[in-house]
Amino acid sequence: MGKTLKSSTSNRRRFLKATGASVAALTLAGCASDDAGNGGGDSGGDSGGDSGGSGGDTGTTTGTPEQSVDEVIIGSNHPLSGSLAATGVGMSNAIKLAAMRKNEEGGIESLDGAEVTVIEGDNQGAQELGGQVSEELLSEGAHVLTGCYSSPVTTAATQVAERQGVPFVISIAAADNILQGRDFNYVYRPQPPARRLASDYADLVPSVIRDGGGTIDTAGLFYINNSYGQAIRDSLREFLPEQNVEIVEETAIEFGASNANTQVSRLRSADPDTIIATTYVAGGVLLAQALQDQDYRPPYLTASASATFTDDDAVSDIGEFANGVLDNNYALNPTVDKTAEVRSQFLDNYDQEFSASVGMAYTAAEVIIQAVEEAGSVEPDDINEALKGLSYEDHISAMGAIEFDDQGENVNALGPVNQVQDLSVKVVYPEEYAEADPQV
Amino acid sequence: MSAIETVRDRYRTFDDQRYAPLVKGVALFGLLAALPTIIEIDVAGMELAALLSLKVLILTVIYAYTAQAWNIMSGYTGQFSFGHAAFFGIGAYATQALVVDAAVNPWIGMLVGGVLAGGYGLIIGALSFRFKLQGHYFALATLAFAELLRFVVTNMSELRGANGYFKAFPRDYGAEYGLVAFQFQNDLPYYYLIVGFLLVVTLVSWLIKNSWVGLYFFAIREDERAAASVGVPSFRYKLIGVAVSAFFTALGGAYWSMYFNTIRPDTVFALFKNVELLLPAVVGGPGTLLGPIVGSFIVTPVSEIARTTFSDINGLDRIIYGAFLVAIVIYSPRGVVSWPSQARALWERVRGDEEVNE
Amino acid sequence: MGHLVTSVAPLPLQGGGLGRFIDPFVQFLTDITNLEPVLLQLLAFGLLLGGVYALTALGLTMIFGVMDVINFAHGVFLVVGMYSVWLVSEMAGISPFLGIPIAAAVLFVLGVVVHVLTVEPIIEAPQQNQLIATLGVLFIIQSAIEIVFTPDPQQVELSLGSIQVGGVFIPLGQFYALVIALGTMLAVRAFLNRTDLGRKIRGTADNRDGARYVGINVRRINYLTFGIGAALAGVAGGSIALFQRFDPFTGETYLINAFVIVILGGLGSFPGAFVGGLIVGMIQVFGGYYLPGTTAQVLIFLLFIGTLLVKPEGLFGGAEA
Repeated sequence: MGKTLKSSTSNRRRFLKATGASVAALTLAGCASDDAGNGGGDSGGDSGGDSGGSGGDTGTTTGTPEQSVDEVIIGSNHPLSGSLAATGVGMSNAIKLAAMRKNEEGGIESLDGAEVTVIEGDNQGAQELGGQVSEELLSEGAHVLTGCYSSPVTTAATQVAERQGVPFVISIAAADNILQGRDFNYVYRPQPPARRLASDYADLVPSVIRDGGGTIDTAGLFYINNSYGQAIRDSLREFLPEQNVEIVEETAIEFGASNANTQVSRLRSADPDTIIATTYVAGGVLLAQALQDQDYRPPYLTASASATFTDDDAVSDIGEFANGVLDNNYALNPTVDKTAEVRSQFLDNYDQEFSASVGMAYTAAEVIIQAVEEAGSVEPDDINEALKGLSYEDHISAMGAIEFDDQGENVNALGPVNQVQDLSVKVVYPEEYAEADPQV
Repeated sequence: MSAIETVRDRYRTFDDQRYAPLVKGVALFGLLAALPTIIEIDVAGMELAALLSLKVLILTVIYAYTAQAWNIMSGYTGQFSFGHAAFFGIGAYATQALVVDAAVNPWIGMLVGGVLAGGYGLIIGALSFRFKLQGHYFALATLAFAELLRFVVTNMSELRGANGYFKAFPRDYGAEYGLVAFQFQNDLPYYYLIVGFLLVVTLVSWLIKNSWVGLYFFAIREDERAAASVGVPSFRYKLIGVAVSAFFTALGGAYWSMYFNTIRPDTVFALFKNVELLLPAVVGGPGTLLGPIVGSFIVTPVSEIARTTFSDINGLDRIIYGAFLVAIVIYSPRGVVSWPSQARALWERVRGDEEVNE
Repeated sequence: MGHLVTSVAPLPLQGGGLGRFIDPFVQFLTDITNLEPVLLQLLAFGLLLGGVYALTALGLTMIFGVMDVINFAHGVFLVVGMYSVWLVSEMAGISPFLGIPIAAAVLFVLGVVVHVLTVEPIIEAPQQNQLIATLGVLFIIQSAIEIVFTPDPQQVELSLGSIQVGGVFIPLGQFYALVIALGTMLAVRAFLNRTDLGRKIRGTADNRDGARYVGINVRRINYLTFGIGAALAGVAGGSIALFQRFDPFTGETYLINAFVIVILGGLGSFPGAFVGGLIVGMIQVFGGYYLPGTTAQVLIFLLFIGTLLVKPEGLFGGAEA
């Protein structure tokens, strides 16, 4: 549909791609979105007013495109190149998929079937581009933003949204400080941040083990020595003692390390009841490798907020040894049919893995779409009001209804417990989201 | 006399005047001050803002500033530092640590950072120069001093480890948004502030260049042994170069931390930060006053244009940017600012040939 | 074999105090006096890691020593080696071990091309220009790999496992890399010492102008050196691919360590690179075991700076190439 490009007027830089989403949606969706497109073109014309204009006091934005509300534009600000791109591209694709699915259903109902379009900007994982890409997306007519995976980048990006009064729903950014104590009025985070994930670990994983008749009195931490790893470590130090789990060893791995031999030697010497891994995919793979190489495995191999043991590819790379690992991280809800549907659609369209991170981005996009649906408007302030009052249940993440508190944090955010069983990642606790029983 | 020659002769007459640097400086900084307005002028439906947003302008001037600061040491004295991220990071960390943990006004924190960085620079310089490190060895030593800080800070819980700092609100240290607080609610004041920073460091650089200090610096750069033999205390003057350069680089780091809200060891002490800080000077022309500024107005926009033009394939812009870096050092080893004089030389050669032919 | 429970490294407890700097060393000395078996294990790990590091530094030290060029693209050359081995084993189904010589060949060609296009024109220019040119090459190659192979991590399908010798675990992937490192080092040394071309390269390393006077074609020596240096990176990268997942950005950590090793060992010195690699490997392993976080890295840079200051010619003095 030519509309996608129309708003990115030709005299403006073409930094972003009008994504395949709306095109693909058309071919797949058939007549539903055709009708929506025709109807939305005229009838919805004045309900949204001068959509892009209200927030656009930047000066760099001239001439708001004359849009009738036949289109809702989500700006996706993610690392599409560089070392974070492996995940960033998947996350951005998930957002496109959410838009595509909505369009297949006939678009935004309250806006007479207005179509959801996603425009992408590549922040390259660079702090200095976070704000820049946000501005570019806004000047391209984005009504609402999402991003950015890296926390420093997200800080810069949300700052722009806040100043311009445009809602920003964080796809993933783990640092607590992004929202907490920032006085933001337009920024929201469905995902559980670092501290919440660590506290969920302490609340859930020991009780899973104990309920299964196991003993967990001591723990050894294995973490990546960057902000994410240290943030989880600090919170685990705080929460684990409350559950009568003593940290007897801590060992860190540097980003890009070639093996985890030393770290495992150290953990092996301390021989705790559980090793808690907090790493990116690579770090967890190294851990598993070194554990096997040294013929060691603690009674319970667990992870908190680790990317490794929620990643099907990584789990299959590790093989047998991954079975039984308990991990708490945000997860997809296996008890609803929609999850499997979305997952298979994602695989078909993008040939990428639908990991927990990618799933979280998908949920963020659905939150946005739902808020627009409830607002019945693309006015940033209307969407923002809708977000504030939102209670969204029909999502695919394993957590309760998404509702935001004053800070913009999701009050029902949850990092449930997964377990690798038969080389696939299964949610095992809390029971309401469990697809299998934990095997302790 | 052709018109061009008239203009050229007039320019030369002007150039000889004592007020010439002042006029040029005013013109240059007047242009910089006007840029945010200029980029929004609509010419035939095209705005420059489409290529150069205010945020990109700020980034450009930040790197012009840091390159100018780097230039005082490495361009003038010829001691090639590859570790200026150390000073940049110290400035950023001193500012944020003091403002967040002790509610000290960021301007004070910035100066503290400058002094600390100057001190660190003196240590690096004293050790390296005492042990007569030169060339690659000196460059690698400075890099090591920078990387050292990255790992120290990452492992220091007192400086919040890898998590770094999130900027405090003005009210947290008893200020209101504005110049005193070093915080603004939109980008334009930030732009003028960094232009002001650039003005100061350029002025300092100019003063050094036109004083006996600069003379000593250049003597050291051209031939240290010869300089020493005619009585230039090269050790002391190299130290002065490092300290001044480190001090101003730290101020840039302080600005960065206030503008970007959050700092971490892997942002301000990053390996490639060392490169970004000095790149404009090398591209523009190391050892010249204008080089760092001109260089930054090439490097940053080129990277930006590559990013926005080749966005259909993620990563393609870096290939273009890399090719640009290779091309510029191969075809213009003395920097972009040497182009006019090279062009003039070429022109005169061509004209000379013509005269011979006649 | 029983668990090695007796030695428990002290917890890097949060908070300050000088204790956190002193305790690890006390612990270390206690373990030595008690002859803790874990020390032997750590020694083995240090040797293995050091061997890999040495291998990554060989090409860098050769280019640095002979041509006086800091090659920033060396890290991404390693990555090209990894992808070469991976491609060979995934696509053609050839054993990854056989992929290593192929990686060397690929890198030799790439090295010569890079040299002719970017380094040769500015071989006499100020050093910072070479640095920025090779940085440009790094960006180009890295992004090209990212575009062609996606930024997703890749892995050579090969589970080698580990063996146990006298209570000490030896991961086989790293062991093979060590063997390859030693073999490569000896081969290149023999080449430099025994062949006419090798002697010319060494002569050029010692004295470029002198080499010119005695009729050595320094230009030819330069591109051969760069090609061989790159090929060595290919061998190193290929060996790393045997035991580590990788993506287009894996080279950066190795690059920095390789710089340290080159300086520690002495420019252009192969035995030096080996010793330098061992030192860095040992510090990382023992430091990682006894010190909190990644403080070991701080020690490495302190040692690096110390060497630069006190003995910039490196432990092996650059006396032999």
